Amino acid sequence: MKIILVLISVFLYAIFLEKLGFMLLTLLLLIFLLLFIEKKSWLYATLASIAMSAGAYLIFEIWLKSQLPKGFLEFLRF
Amino acid sequence: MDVIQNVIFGFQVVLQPINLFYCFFGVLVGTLVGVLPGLGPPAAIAMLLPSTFHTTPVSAVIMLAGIYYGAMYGGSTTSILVNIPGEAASVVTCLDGYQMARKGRAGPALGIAAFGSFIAGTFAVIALTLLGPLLATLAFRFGPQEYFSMMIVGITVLTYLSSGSMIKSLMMAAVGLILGGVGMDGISGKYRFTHGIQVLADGVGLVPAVMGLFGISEVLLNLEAKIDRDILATRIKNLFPTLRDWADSIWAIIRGTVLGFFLGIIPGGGAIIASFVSYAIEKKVSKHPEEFGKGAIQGVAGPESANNAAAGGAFIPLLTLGIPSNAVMAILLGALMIHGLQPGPLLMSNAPDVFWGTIVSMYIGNAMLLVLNLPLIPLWVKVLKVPYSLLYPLIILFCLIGAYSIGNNAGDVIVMLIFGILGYLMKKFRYDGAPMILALVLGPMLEESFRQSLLSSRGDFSTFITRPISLGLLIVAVMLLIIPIITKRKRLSTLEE
Repeated sequence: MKIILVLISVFLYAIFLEKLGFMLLTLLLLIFLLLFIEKKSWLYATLASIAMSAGAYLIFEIWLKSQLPKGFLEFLRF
Repeated sequence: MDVIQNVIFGFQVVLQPINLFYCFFGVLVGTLVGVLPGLGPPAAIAMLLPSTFHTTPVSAVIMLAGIYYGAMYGGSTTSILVNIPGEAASVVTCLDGYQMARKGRAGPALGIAAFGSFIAGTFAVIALTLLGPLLATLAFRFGPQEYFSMMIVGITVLTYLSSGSMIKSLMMAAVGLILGGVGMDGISGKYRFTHGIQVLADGVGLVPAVMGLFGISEVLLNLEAKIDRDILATRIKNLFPTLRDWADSIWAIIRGTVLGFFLGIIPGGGAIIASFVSYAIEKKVSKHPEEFGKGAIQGVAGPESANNAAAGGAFIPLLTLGIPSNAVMAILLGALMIHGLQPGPLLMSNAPDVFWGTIVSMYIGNAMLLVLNLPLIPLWVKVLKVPYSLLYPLIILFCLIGAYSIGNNAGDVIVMLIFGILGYLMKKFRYDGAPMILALVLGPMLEESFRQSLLSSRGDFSTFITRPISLGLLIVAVMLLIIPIITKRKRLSTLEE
């Protein structure tokens, strides 16, 4: 059922958030949601996810200066 | 007169361009937040809080306040158009607002909601201007006993007013009280019910709980039912309610305003309860109660006015006593403290620019909102037209980030999700979430006041009754509890005759 899948994915998101970092995980989550649950096309899902992740990053990290977890990608100086 | 001087001073503060900007920005974001389901004022305020750090306290509070009452305006838009409440205080508006829209009367519904909100909001601010200083002086005489009794009244009001099964609401309130007990005990410093989980050390987070209970659960519910999200394509022309509409609604607006204002002042009251109560009252006093649920305009006018008035009223305990009346106020309290201000009776004298600036900004904010809401509705509708399949991942994302940014702690996110599941189940089985949340807020405060009172009286329980203000409040509470029983008895006996 959709709900269970969404719940599992969101829980995993929360659990791994600090380890994998915001950017990566958000991208994955959005792709998962769009691709598997909403059954959009591969292209649509990826593009939309990148756009939304980037947008979220801009809004929250750059503009609002909230500290989103970087995870092990820290070295990329996100 | 003193008041006029203070108001003029407030205007001087607010009319500085930077503050005008923050006010505008706040109400804009607030409306947007109100429009988007799943994202509520607590989340938005929590998320924007860090950005206020490098501005003055005045600007910060003005903006955050704007978000709060702005959301009350925005929430009605989605309720009416799509039957999804943008946030909890707009739930009631769905009942009749949506029906009105289905009958092609979306315009007047939106219009009356906007106007009612404006009237109510302005009234609340005026009352705030007049009552604020008065209450601040009264607040000096408030000891823990008075705080305790006031909160008792708050909880009693909550039980008295719950729509639906009172037993279920009481159960929810009880759960909320228990949840409120989790965390570190303020007086002894011991951890209770935390089971060593770090996240719970400060108690069950209110903001994650609210976001989960109302936001995530809504998303989950919507996932299940493939309800078509068609925003009523009926063209929303003619936003101005007819004279007939005005005549029908004016009393609802007045009643809603007064009711909402007083409910907003009481801790534990607030916009959500105010909207529910207003709806119940409108239904009771209406000459056509069967119209309710089918598109009675009073069902929109009353609650919408009530929730805006309550939003305004909610500022009073915060600005005068330093007690937050709901989640949003609690966050504002935090914001004030971060900026180095001490909320409470001294706020008025220590930081008059914050006090009066905020109050006056609400006049201006309400005016801005009225102007914003009506013409921009097509814009909000476009926002809603984003297909839900694209929208809800965004909502989920916002909630996730919002929950995380409270304390930079993924644990809060998990709390939110758990409450999301809980909220979903509750909605399925028709349990009301509001009493739980309110009890969650009040519980710890209640307990703290109780213990402080007893500490200062050395275990003497009569201290609650010997102090006049406290006694008065307790009598109110008792009356509220007894009245339903008496009226029920009367009804039963007349039935028998």
